Amino acid sequence: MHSKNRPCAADVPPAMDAEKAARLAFAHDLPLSRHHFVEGEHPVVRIEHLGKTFTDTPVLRDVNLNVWNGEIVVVLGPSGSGKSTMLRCINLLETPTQGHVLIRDQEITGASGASLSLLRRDLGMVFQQFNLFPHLSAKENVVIGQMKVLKKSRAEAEAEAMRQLAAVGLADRAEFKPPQLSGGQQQRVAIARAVAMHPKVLLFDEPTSALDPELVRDVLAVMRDLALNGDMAMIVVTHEMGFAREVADRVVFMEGGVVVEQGLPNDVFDHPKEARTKEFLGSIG
Amino acid sequence: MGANASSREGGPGPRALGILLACVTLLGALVGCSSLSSPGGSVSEASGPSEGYVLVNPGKLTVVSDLANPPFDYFDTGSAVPVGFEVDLMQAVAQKMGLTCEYLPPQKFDSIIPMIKQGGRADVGASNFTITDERLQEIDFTDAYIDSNQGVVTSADVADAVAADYRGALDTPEATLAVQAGSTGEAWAQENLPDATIVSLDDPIAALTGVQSGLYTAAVADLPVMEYEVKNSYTALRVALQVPTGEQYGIVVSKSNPGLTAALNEALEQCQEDGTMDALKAKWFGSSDSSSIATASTAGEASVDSSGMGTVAVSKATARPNESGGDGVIGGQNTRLTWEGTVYVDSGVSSVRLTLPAGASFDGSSTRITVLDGLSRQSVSGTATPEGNVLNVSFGKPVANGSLLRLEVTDMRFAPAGGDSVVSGSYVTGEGATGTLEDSSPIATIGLTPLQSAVNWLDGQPWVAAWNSVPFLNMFFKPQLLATSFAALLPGWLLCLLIVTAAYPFAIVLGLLFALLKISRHRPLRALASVYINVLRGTPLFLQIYVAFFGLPMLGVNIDNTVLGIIVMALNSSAYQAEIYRAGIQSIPTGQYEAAASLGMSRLQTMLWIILPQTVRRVIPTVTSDFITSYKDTSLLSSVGVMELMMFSKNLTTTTGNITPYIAAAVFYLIVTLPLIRVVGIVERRLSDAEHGLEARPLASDGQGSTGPSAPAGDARAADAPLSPLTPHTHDDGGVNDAQ
Repeated sequence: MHSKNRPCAADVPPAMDAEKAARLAFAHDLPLSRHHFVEGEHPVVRIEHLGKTFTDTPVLRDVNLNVWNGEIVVVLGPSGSGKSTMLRCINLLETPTQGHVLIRDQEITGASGASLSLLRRDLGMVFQQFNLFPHLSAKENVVIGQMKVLKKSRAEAEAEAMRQLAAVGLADRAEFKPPQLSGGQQQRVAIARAVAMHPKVLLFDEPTSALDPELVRDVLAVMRDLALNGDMAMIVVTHEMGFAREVADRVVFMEGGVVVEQGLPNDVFDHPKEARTKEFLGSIG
Repeated sequence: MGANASSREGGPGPRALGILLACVTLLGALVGCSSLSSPGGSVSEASGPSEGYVLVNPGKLTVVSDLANPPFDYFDTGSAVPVGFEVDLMQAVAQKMGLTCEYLPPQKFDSIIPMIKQGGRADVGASNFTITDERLQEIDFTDAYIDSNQGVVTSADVADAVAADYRGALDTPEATLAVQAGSTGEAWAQENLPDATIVSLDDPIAALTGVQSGLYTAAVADLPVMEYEVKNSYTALRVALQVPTGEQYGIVVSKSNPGLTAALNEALEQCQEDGTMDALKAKWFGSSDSSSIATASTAGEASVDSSGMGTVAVSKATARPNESGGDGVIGGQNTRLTWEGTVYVDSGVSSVRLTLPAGASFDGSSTRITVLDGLSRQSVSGTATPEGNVLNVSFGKPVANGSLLRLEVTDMRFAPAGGDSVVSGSYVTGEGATGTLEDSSPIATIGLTPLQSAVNWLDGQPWVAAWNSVPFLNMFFKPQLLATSFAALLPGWLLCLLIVTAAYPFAIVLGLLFALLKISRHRPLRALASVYINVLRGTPLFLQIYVAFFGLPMLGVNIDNTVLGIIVMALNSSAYQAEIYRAGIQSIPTGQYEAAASLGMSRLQTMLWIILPQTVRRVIPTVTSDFITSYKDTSLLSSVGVMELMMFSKNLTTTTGNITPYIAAAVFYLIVTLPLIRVVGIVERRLSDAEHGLEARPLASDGQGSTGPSAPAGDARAADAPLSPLTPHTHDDGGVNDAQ
């Protein structure tokens, strides 16, 4: 499944053979992550030579990254570094201009229609602006994807929705419409909505950036809970250093559209190898 | 000259201005006067309304016409200058009065009499106005300047059938007759072809267009106009029938301006005497040969009996509908009886005696006598003597053998109980012998209706009389007419509602379809939608109605008028709604599409379950406004003869010469639009509240450990209170919120 949308496909090698890629990735990532690697496992997300150019402005240039089952990856970097674009390329909300993204060894770049929808089921997403459906109650926000996409019965979907709303502490707000909820509550509903679909990977796009500081805590608590008790991989683009240090299996630092440095949280935070990482951590520290 | 100038002179303005004005007026009068000796033209005589006449514009005879009656008054092709027999005549008359003649822009025929009556804009109306008793109650007429008749025009292929038996061919509900609103043709059709569908249009040319396109079966209008048009423009049509009404045209003048009527009569007489009239008639009509055309009321065979006594063949007895706002003939109140008979008596007929069943009354009536030889009017005078249910009419000289005698008895009454009335009677020949008139065909009359008794009651109230004595109140809010209007307009109102409510569901579906095409990813579909939307939004609905109603029949597509009206309204509204929906869809933030996509929804699912439900809420106010517009726009369908609210009110205004029916129509429109306008406001406020989280909240359990076990639950509510002025206890005052 090769991308039809890549204008410069010739510049980029085709997606690697899955076995070979998995072996290389395993060797590469083993020292960089707290993830409990299992011999022979394949990465759940494989990003190869990913590039994205908006009109004339290159935002991503040759990003390579693997994410493993259940792994918590926190992506850091200054604004404009391309981290959100990278995240949005994973579920094809942005169309990459080069490279490949593979979900469980299936290429999503270039997919469309039903096959794209199918691949997206494995990828949940939490947005900076929540993007709840304002015409639906909190519960219906969580129910609708289960019923329309997973074809669950209403009873099943509602039971699951109430479980997930309870898990984010909002069972008593199930019938509220989004505009009646605070930003923090909306974001927790959005997390419940994504989790209820039981994806393999949850993508968090700066989930706390639009929140008032006093509301950030509850959202981070929910995310921490998910990271520690859930079995989903999480790719979290955030500026929350404390969260990254505490929860991440691996920290990825991006700048200028490339991955500058990645590794265990303590290694990256305490002993950054790259000058640009140091500078970034110093500036926010 | 006249009131305007003098009132200005009397005003507080500087004296110099007054003098200047007087000079200019005098100069204008001198320039306008080609013959200073002509009566009524001198400045001194026209100085005050008591001794002369008042003009709207000093020195000018301001004429109003519909300018749609070739060859009487019309615009020549591509020209904006009125031409025609009447135009020439008015110029000649004005000249003889020492005035210049100026035409106002064309006015609708049925608005001319009210305009002259109200005054202030035009001095006279000249637009083929037949002198009738009804009109004489509203305005004055000058002496007649030309005789006329009515003509029935059909397409050539049915002309023979109509000529052979016009009642059989036209007096059925399937036949649609186009007439000019307020014309004698309309009155003739209503009285003589009661079963036909009669469509009142603004001008006779529209009627002919409709007949040519197949929309209408026939058009009834002034014979000279019909003959001229059939010869020059509508060559596929034929004058199938001429109706000898023996009517005469006069110039319409306000009752409050009798000096002008007198001056006009004098000028008309001069035109008659100096040959101007004959010259103009020769110029515009030449010698018309209408002998080949069948005549409507030619009374079958003339059976002359052996006694030499002869006979009078009764060809017609009809009554004018006098039900306020309806078309029934009510007994016990004034109406007009029209009786026609053809004289087949060698010595002529010197008197006629008409008898109605007991209970009817001719007392207080006046009788108009018309005698026609073929189509030409004969001058016959006579006196009518009413005696209860009997009317004696004796003629100054006997009505000649072979001529048609018409008696129009105004302000007579049928028996109050209603029922069929037969006109019988007798006649006296020129030699003094007495013969018996055949019984006429029966005239159906009805008893008093509740509505009519209400109107009659209003007629008798002093406060109604006082109210009506104020011209403004009488013209716009006449109580009797309001009562009858509400009853008479009801069917039109219901049709409006039917059209718009039937059209709207289709408009919504079509609008949604074209909105989706417009935002489609496929260029041809987008182009198709753009063309559809732009053409329908970029052209007037009025034009679309004309294209559909006159165009489709030409293609042989004949759709019921109401159904076609629904279709046109639906198509037009759908284009506007497509834009509303498109804008609504595009106003939904991209985040909504992304959230749906991230859940794995397809484009169709996203549209169906996420985007459209939000769009619908957002567009409800705009779509409701569009509904209001569409509802009001159904009025345009009156122009093509759909019997909706506007059509009914127009017809009623035509027959009454009063604006009140329009006010009643306004009430009918407002009954629907005002609540809807209010609904729009409420919905807009609700939506705005909802977007700001202000709408009534569902019951939320108030803590007490009912929430899930998860870590943040306990302190979340306190820290996480929504940014809303309402307390969490909203449900306590839920009633207040519900009322929003």
